[in-house]
Amino acid sequence: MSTRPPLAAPVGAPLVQVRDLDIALPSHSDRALAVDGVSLTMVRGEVLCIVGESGSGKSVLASAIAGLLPGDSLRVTRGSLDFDGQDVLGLREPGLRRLRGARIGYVFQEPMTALNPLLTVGRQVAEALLAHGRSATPEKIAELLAAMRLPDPQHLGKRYPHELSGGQRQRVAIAIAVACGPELLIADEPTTALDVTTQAEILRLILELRAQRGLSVLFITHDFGVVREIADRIAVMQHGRIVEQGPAAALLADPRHDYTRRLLAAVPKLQASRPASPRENPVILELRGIEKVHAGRRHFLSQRRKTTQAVQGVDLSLRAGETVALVGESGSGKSTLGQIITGLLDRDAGGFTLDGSPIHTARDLFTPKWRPEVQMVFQDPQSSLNPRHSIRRILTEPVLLQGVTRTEAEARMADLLVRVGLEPSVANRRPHAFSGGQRQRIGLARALMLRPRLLVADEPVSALDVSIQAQVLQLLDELQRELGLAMLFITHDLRVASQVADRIAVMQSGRIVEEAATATLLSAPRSAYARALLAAIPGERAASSPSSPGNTTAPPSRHDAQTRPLKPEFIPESPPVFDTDPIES
Amino acid sequence: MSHRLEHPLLHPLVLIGFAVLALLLCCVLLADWLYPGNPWRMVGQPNLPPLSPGFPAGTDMLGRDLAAGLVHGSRATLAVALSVVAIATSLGLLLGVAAGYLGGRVDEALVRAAEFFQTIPGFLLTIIIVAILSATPAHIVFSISLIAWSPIVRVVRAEVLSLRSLDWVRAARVSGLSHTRIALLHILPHVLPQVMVQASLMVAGAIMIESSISFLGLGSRDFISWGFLLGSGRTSFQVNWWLSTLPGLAIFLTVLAFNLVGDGLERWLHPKSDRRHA
Repeated sequence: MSTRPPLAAPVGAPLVQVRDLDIALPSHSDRALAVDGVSLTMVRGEVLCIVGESGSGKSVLASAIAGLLPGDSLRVTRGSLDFDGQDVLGLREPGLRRLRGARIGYVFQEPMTALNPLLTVGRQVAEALLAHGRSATPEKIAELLAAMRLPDPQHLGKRYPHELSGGQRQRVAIAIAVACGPELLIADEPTTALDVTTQAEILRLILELRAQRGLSVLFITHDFGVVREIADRIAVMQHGRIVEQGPAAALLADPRHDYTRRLLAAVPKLQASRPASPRENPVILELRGIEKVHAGRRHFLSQRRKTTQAVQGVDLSLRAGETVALVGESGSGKSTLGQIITGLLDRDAGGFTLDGSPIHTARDLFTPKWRPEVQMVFQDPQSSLNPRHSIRRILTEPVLLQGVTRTEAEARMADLLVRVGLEPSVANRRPHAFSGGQRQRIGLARALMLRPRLLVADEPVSALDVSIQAQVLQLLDELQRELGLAMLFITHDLRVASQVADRIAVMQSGRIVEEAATATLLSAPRSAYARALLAAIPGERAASSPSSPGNTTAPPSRHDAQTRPLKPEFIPESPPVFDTDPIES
Repeated sequence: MSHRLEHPLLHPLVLIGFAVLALLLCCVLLADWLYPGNPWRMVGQPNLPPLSPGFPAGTDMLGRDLAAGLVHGSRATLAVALSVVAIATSLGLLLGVAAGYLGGRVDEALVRAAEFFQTIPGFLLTIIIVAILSATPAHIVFSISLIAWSPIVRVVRAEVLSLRSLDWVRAARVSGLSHTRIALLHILPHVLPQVMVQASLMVAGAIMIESSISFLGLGSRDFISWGFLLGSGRTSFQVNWWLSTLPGLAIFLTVLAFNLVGDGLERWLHPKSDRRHA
């Protein structure tokens, strides 16, 4: 980062100028304004990151700039919003349509839902061009897809979104956004739903586009790791206000506002933070050569079922008091393995020993003897608690059925609620009264109610904001130590894994390709895949000081992040000589 | 999220629905007190228009009191409709949960059975059954239930299928709850709002079918019903417009009331009820 010259002089008139913008939320919301007195300037060719937790108003602000506010529920009540000197707020729908797509491109968070599943991707790119009176020849579309580094651009246009991977879909979404050569690209958490390695590729693509086309990029994220990778300037939002903004280097080096410091501190550090695990503890879980094949649906007119080998010959053992992180991308089979261990899926082959006793089928785990031993924390805080049941029922129903008395169950519940940082008096509420982080704590309390010895945590923090992640991780870590649990922590994020794990097992295509103590794996990864995962972690290269040794020896073939600078230099086109507009900072 | 300014069942439209149903309940309960004796009796001059003294709904060409017919008819009509709903929803719920939760062969078999009954023209089937068996109320209820259960199965099954894959169901499994308990105590309540709406529509549909059967003259002659009144008044519509209009209005209001109440119930039973207000 230090090698890059800062954008020294203001370049042209500001592209986006927001002054004292207030956007009102509908009445009965938890606060009056979604966006509260925001002033913001963007110049051409810069990457501005808006950082904040969910609910901070950052997406609403971005929608307002693109003229995408739903007028009935979110209204601008004060302030002005200019795009290239034009008042966006005063524009009616036809004017906004000329702006959107043509001059402002928008990339949404969820690549699964941002594309129409019924149309081929080529058709969707063509529509973006035709809507603004551009020609949409197959060559033009192929050229755009090629510019997005999509494979086989000549024929990819004929495929449907479901035939593409998440990263490829997001590339198509970007192709649509930049099809008409916009000046501003708004990217609303475009990589949050993606794997780390895919995320790194998408970020690189956005920066390349910026360099080639002189795009300005308004990038919305909650992850300071991503910010480090791409931002020229940063604006930090909290409760609808911008609490701090400034050039990226300065702000990252010297954050002024408490909230910024908190967010920065919450970014998980890639370092082994736990002491070496005790080797003499008894082995709780022993897996030998676990195999699992997923049978697909039988295809119409075909007798053959499509099968996928989800887990291939996995060996794993866990001792009491030890946390092992299972790290891999989506589709690597890590969740399948977690479900086999909890009994939600049956394995096809392999040995499974729990506490020294063999588990023959998944059914064995549902016996009163074994069920309390293995518990699970689920990924999605929105769907892991029954919305109709009170917290009391969610926590106590299983133990009551195990034959525990009501007084004892109530006592355990009160104790655990306090342990996870909630008042025991919340027991009568239902899940919708809680935030995502709180729900995840309740999910943890539920898992601990049965006093398990092995806890499987399947991506327990990946649906949470970074700042909430840190709290939940710390809580997991504390409780795991206090109770001496064996924990299998499934995650796609090596940073998170390094925070909690004694050992890390890296999984790829159903196999464990490397397993080592956390510190060893981070400092000297042996497999190419582990190196690729390490290289893809956002913010690590920028954050690592020159003194830190380059931890990768050979760049992996697929992920060439190390071979060239991620952030290309962008020299803005000939700035006007007379211009003296200062950059607001 | 936690704000709820107004209880969803206190919405004006829902209250209107409740008011109509309350009126109907009065009719059902007080029929013998309001109009004692047989409603088929001739009690006044024939062809009296509505609002005649002593005969608020007028009389038919035989001098029978239409108001007495309407009040007594509510009993038969509602009894049939509610029995149908009770039978068809409980059957539909049970089979739907079984199909959705168990999946596999059970699902396959139940869905095929439901499809079989859905492809048969329902009204024709009821007419045939009623014509073959005698037209007793029990047979009418049986024949309408036979065509009413299959849509419920499909709704419940689809809902259960999507719920079954949610994390809280897996969490309940992992914490050791039995399949029966999860299916009946955890998943079933989530399906009830949808079934509630279906059931309110079904009351409406059952009233319509029962009325149609009576209208065609196939219904039971032991009891007076709205459909019969509607059918018998139809022939003299030019002279006595009220003979078919008033029973028709009664059917319409009842069907509407059940729909309004069904909507209110759905909002109330749905945990995220504010989604629908937006």
